[in-house]
Amino acid sequence: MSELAAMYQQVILDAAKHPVGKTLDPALADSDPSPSSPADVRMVEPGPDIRVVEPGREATDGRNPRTVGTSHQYNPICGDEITLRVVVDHDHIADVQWMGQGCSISQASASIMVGLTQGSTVASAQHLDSLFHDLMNSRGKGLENPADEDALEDANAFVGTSLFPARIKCALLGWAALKDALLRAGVTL
Amino acid sequence: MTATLPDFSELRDEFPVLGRTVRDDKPLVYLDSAATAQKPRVVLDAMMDFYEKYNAAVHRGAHQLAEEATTAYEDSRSAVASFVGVEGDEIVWTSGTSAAINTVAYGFANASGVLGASGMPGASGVLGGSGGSAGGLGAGASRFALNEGDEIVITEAEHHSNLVPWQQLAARTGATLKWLGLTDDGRIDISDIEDVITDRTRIVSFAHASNVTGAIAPAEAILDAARAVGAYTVLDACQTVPHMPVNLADLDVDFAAFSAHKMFGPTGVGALFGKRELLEDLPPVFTGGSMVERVTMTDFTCAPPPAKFEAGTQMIAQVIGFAVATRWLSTHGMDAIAAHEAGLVKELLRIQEIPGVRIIGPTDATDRLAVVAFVVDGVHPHDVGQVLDDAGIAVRVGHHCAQPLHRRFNVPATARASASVYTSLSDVQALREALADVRTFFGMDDA
Repeated sequence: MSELAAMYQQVILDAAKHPVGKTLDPALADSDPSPSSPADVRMVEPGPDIRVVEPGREATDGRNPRTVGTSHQYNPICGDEITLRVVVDHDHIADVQWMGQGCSISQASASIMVGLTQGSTVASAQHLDSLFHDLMNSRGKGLENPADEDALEDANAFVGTSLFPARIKCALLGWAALKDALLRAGVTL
Repeated sequence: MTATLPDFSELRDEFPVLGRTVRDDKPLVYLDSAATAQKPRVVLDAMMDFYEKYNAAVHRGAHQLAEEATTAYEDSRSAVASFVGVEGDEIVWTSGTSAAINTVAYGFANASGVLGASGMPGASGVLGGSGGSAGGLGAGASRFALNEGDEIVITEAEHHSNLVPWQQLAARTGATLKWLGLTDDGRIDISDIEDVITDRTRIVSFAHASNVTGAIAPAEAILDAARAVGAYTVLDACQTVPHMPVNLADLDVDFAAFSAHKMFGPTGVGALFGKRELLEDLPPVFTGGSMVERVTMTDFTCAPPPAKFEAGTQMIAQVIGFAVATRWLSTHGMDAIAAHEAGLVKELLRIQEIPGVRIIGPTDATDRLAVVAFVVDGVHPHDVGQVLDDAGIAVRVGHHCAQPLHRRFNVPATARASASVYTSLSDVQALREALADVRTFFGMDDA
């Protein structure tokens, strides 16, 4: 398989064409608390342009208030952007939706990430985030531990992307948005 | 119609890097010369020769090496100056076009007193000097002072390096930044030029050709309008100087900037042209060694230009390489090079025959360089670039440091193929063939 084919595996092309959870209503994203003072900026890598939103609270049906966080991530090199909104209910991700535009790698990676983390525990999402970073740092070798590979499911397809240093940021854009959104939802990572 | 090219195949062999392969032994098809041009052997040799035989600091030291280095350094200035039709002492070495434009913008800021210049010793300083002025701010500096109500005019096509420095200058002085817009085919719209360039206009700065669309600016119309209101003119000529004959004296611009690395010279050096009497009055930005005449513990006087703008030890090897690059260009002749590239433009524009490919910028070959930005329907430019790279074709993807231009055309990014003197028709053919496969690769419907 050529390096190009390794990068654009079918699962990636499919995810880019039919993204999961790319249903965020822009009005909803805008309704979240607006950026506060720069002193509140919490940097998460690679975070080129993180706008801070105060951790907001979303009342459901009068029972448990759930926290919500929205993150906008922008890659100034290529103009790719992703806005992702996460709703956290105690220790799990109750809902995650996003919108954005960009290359097939950034869009497919966000899609597959949402598929993996929708409804999962926050701890599991954190673990997957860490595994995905390991994958991106693997220079085409992939993850060593089969259990880790199993956990990442379709996201393993991005092993080809790790061969192209200029594209790793594309694959990480969605993950950076999720991590940042969780922070903004008041989750301690 | 197929373009006829002069025989440039031997010329191509002069560029060592063009002989290499990329991505599994594919021949390199280099279509990114608008970002940076490759270097002919003669330029590389000249720089190595300097380091091996006469490396020394210039304008200081009485030894033979210093003398040879100084001669080469100043001869290089004359060579680069004559290449663009001006005098040697009107050329200031900078690190590149961005630094050259910033030198002008910061000069205006200094003259406007907005960089804390009030704390600097003024023209009333105790030191006199033949070419000098105390504290760097001579009596003539006031001609560059900007105030609230003054206006700076650029265009919507500018590279960030000819945009952000003027935003900064406007913000610091209270001046207003205005711009000429673009037509739908990527030309500078001069239909409302009389509304944009007015009695309030103090500076008009624009790119001689867009680094994205390749469109050559209607320079005469813009310069005429600027001169009519007495505005200073600044020309970003970094895209045109390597590709067509450019005579800055004939254009009658006040300042101009270009970079060696886009014209087959090294990185790290470029030129700021300024009319002599303007360089004499423009305050320096960097101060320190070599840019002074007399220095006391409390004051200094400036050396005459261009030395006034060249504080510190300069990039001597690069300056020498820069001059050799201009001599190399002159040997082949800018008219012949322009004719060669005019043929390439026509072939490059044929990418619009490929389904889904849309050119951002002029779709005809008139008044444009062989720089073609495009989008492929349904495929992000980064993905386009990746597929081309796999075929050994180097193009640039992204916003090419021109975000406002991309916003104007409602695209976040483009891919850009740019040709040069060493580009062959088969390079362009390879691009067309690889582009034809892009939509198939990404499973687009018409494929």
